[in-house]
Amino acid sequence: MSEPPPSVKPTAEALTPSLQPPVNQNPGAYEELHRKCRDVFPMCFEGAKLMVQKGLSSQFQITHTLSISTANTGYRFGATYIGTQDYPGGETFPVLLADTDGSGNTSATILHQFAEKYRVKLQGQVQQGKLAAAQGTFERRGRLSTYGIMLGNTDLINQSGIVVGHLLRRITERLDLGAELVYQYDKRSGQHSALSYAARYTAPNWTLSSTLGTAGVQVLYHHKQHDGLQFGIEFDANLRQAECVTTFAYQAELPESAVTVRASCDTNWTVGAVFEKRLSPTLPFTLAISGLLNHLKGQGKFGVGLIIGA
Amino acid sequence: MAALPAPKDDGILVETYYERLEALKEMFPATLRNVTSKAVSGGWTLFTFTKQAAWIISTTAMIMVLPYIIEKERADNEKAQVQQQRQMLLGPQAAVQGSQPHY
Repeated sequence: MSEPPPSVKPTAEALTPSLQPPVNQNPGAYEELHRKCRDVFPMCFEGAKLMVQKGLSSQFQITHTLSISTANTGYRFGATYIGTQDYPGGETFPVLLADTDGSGNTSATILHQFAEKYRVKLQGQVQQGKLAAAQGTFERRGRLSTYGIMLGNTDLINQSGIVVGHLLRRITERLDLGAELVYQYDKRSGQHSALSYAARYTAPNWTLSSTLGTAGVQVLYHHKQHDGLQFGIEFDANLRQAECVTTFAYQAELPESAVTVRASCDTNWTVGAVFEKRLSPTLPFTLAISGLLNHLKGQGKFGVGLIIGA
Repeated sequence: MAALPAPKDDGILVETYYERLEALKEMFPATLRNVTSKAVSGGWTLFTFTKQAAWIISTTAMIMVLPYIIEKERADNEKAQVQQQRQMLLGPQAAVQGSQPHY
């Protein structure tokens, strides 16, 4: 009797079904739609900056920031508390962030998640002893969609405030569609609303995302060439101010020297770059230098910063 | 005898020195004059444009590209030096292995 051909023999792999964890198909927050491309753009700063980050325990972290520049010279103190509830995906809640300076101007954020689906974010800002801004966001992250509602600067006495509702839904494995409605009401100036639509197409190497509304159009393209090189192109048309800007940016990393370079140039004849380098493999010092040059005005803004601690 | 009055038109053109210098241009034909004038002003425009382009390209490259190039050259040089040293000490096998991040 001959043996059955190898393809017919039952193998151990075919008998046991594959047990893989369910893939998270939630498209993320509406505000993070353009995050992948916007992360490539440099955050140029001016003046000298020293930031000391210290973790007092595994949950509590303190940041001291000293900045000397023409825009603001001063000291800022920041604290971050991360709670104990772990959720799959690497996120831990609740998160409390606060940032304050010497004269008491504070901004604070509280983030908390209930039952892995509902997320609440409260933000407040106090300036010169008065509450300058306050907003609360409630988000429901479902299997395939994210719904959110945000109330900002709700003033019951003057009957003014902003209400924003947004939804983002995953249509296919690569396509996400969403919409956002901004409603602003004020006793003096009446009610205004703006509706905008958003779409994002994700391919293995590139992402194309777009926001289209009465206020303007934004189209962003992100391309990952290889592990150390990413490109981003943003086209921003503002219909209210009748201005269009196209920006091209790239991010390059050299992992063996722990160097990150982000540079951008745009159609307003502005060129900017930020260069970050870790100064020693054992000591936690990072040097950051930034430059911004406007060819039209012939003005340049340069900054240097040192980050101590992670 | 009274002097005769000067004739009104005696056929001699009265010109200043500058006008005579200017008139030398008439020794060249008109087309040649036009072409030369356009070429000179075009050349001057090209020179001004090249100056501006050189400034814009060099400052843009200095901000966008220079730090990355310097760092990449430095890292490559160090890697090559470390590889060379290891090769000298331990033989050609060791040079192929990876090494610790070296800042």
